[in-house]
Amino acid sequence: MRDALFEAPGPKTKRKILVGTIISSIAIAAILVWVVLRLYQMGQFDASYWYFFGQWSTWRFLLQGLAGTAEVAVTAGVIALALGILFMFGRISKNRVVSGIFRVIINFFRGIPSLLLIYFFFLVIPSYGIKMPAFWMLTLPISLTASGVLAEVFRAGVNAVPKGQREAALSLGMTEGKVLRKIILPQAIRYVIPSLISQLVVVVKDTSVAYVVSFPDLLQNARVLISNYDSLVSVYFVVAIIYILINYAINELAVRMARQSGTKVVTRAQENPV
Amino acid sequence: MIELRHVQKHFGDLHVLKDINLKVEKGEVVVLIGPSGSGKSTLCRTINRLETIDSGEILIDGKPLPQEGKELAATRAEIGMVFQSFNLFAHKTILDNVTMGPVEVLHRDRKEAEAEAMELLRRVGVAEQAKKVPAQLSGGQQQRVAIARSLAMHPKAMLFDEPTSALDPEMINEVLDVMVGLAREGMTMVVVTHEMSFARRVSDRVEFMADGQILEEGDPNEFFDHPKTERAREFLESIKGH
Repeated sequence: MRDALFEAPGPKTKRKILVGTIISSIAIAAILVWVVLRLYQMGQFDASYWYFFGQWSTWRFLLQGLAGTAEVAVTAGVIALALGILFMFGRISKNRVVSGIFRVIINFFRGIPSLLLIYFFFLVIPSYGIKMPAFWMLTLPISLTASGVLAEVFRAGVNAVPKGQREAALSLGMTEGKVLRKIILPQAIRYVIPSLISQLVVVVKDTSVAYVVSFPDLLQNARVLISNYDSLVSVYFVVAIIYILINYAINELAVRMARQSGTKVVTRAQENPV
Repeated sequence: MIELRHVQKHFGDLHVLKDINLKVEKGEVVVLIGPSGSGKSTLCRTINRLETIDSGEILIDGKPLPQEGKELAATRAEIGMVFQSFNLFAHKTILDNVTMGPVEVLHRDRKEAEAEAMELLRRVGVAEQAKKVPAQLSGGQQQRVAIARSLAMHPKAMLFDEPTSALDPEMINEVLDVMVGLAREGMTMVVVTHEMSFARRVSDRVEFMADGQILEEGDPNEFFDHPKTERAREFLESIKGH
């Protein structure tokens, strides 16, 4: 599908676009050639930097790291979803005190960098005698920062549900709680599936600071490989490709899910006159 | 059955309902008519408290309309409501839309509720669409489903808030036919509409509203043929062209 920002180009514009495409293609090709040439001159294509990728043990080690990454990402994702919904409920409460408290909580976790929170769990909390495995010192801060964002995502979804849906449910005799559970939330979640998935990508990327707490994730294991084989560029290159592939797969999944539910929830213009 | 006494309401500085008094007896069909912004929709929506009121009283079967909680929900369950924009639950099938109330609110058995829902859908002529979702239906079909959804609750009265205003002209009659059928079966109805033919055919009374007040009330034929107030004459003149 064409991005719908511009109207269909006329003949003049088409010529301009063609010229622009040719020039930028040449420029990009030149940069690529230069990069590859530089790497070659520095001996980065030397077999000593790459031969260990031919060994199963290297891949097994990376896969173990990947499993660690997946474990943290999935756990953090699940916790963040649950907390996000919980925070959202607090935030939309009609009780001003409750709503105010959750507003502060949400903005705190949304605004704080997850690395800072990880340092807090890693350095501050243990000094009060609370012991926690590295897994949780990594997973909890990531969950918390993501839950702040997700709470706002869910709230946007709830607000996007036309108010007529609520009115119709109320006039059937449903209580406020039931309206929220049966009518509003199911629709709100469908609206925000794309944003939920992009937040999941952020969670996956956040896990890469695992080295701070010495948790063996993909990047941490990659660092071990780097020091073992003294080969920085090749290992980082391979690991970057793995991250990109994973996140690309998650995004594809998001697009597909959005398309599926999107066609189902399309509503006609919903306006209510005064 | 429905009674409003000295009802007042403001939207900010705007005085939208000015000392409204209205009584609807069991089995009566009352049409609210008037220029846009006259407060007729708001009036209709106060009856099941989708709009709150500033002062005055609303009585349902002689009892004050509850202000909140389970009591309010229970009262709403007894009064059907049909909206201008249909408001079918977008994430549910047509059948689920109709069974939602009986199953979730009245705690009826799902199988039974579905059987009755199919009966209602047949009655309003959309039974073949039962497995579709609302967005796949035409406006007229959606509005008939909305009526079936209300009927599934066995309401003792029904409110219609401009039920045909969002419809393409060729779909208006299919909805009006269902409403005429209901009126003839003795349903108590409050209908906000501009459809003169409907008002003439089945309504017992027309209430003409302008600027938040009921200016004129009476027999529909009498009102449309010989309006008493200048305001009503102007209004009827302006909608005649349709």
